[in-house]
Amino acid sequence: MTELKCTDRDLGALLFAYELGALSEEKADRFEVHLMECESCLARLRELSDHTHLLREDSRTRQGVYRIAVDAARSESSWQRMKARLWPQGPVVFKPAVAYLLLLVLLYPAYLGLHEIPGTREVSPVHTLSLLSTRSAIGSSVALVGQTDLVLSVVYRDFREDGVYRVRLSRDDGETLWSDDAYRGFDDRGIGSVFVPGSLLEAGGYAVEVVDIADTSGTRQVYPFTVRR
Amino acid sequence: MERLITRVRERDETADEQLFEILSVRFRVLAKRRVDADAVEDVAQEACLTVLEKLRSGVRPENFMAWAYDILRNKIGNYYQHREVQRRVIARTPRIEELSSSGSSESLSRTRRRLLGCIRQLVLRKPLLARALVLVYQGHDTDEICERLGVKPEYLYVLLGRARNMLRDCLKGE
Repeated sequence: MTELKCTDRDLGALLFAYELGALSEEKADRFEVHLMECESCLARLRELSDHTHLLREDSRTRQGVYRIAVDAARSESSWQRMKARLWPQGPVVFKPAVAYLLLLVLLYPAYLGLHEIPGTREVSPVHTLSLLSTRSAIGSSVALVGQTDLVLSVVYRDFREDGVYRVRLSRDDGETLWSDDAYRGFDDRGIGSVFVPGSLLEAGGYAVEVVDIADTSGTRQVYPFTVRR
Repeated sequence: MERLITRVRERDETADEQLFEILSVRFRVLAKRRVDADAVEDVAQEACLTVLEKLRSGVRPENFMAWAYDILRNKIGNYYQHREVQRRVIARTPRIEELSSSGSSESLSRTRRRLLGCIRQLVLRKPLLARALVLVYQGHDTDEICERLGVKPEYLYVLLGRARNMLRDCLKGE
């Protein structure tokens, strides 16, 4: 059996309002003429006629519904009330929520100007440690806080201007943290710098080892140091 | 419908019965809202008979259903005139046992309780419906309700339509 369809959807939409007796005289008349012609609305109206009759005519039912509706309307949550105020019916441009959002969007660049600019990295503090080659296992010591980076300043004895050096930074246990097999960073006084990010340096013992590649004797200069946290 | 009307004019008795049936269903539904329950059948039947008489006498309405509806309205008007009965207002209390389809007040109480339970669920899910119902029972029509709630009429009718569907499903026990 094919489902009945309303012959006039605009008038069909008035059904529940009609059943509740909430239509004006003129609209109720128009709807009743529609009922004469529309099988679908007639069938739907008859489906709930006993109940809608109670809603409209029975005083005890009406009192009950009224009480329920008043209680529900009173207890409407503050969120729902705020939502109704921020997003009332009407064109989008007149909704307060849209105005507040636009305001936030316009103020955002000002906020950024007062704080860091996105995309730039905060510069960490840097500590410099000057190391001298020594046979002693103790070496120099440095206390680091947080993510402070470290620049190791190494003075190489027997520095040659045309020399090529292998520089290695390792932990006491032998693990290599960084190495450069063709380090040319020494200046004319034999001072070279090794930059070490603070995140690599836990508390413990480390050493920088420098080897002259051209020196076949295997001589190396070692610069031990300790990091304290 | 046109063919049926033509057969009625030709005094086909079967067509009379068919048209009577089609009209009486509608007339009873419409009359129920405006006259006392014990007068609904009489008013509906009188209107149907008048429609058939006029068709047989040669009346050719442009819009048959609208014309038939006008006849019903006249019969309702006559009913009020003869009985000196005021149109039902919101505050009137009808005899409860007349409203029950099963005829018992116990059944009516059960129906009422079920209906109120469903209404309670509805208004909890749709707070705007609660406010609309308060205004309905205060005697406002849909135009006034829209103005007070700050909504468009189309929005209100959609809200009521959805509420009706939820009410129907709740009453069916879904």
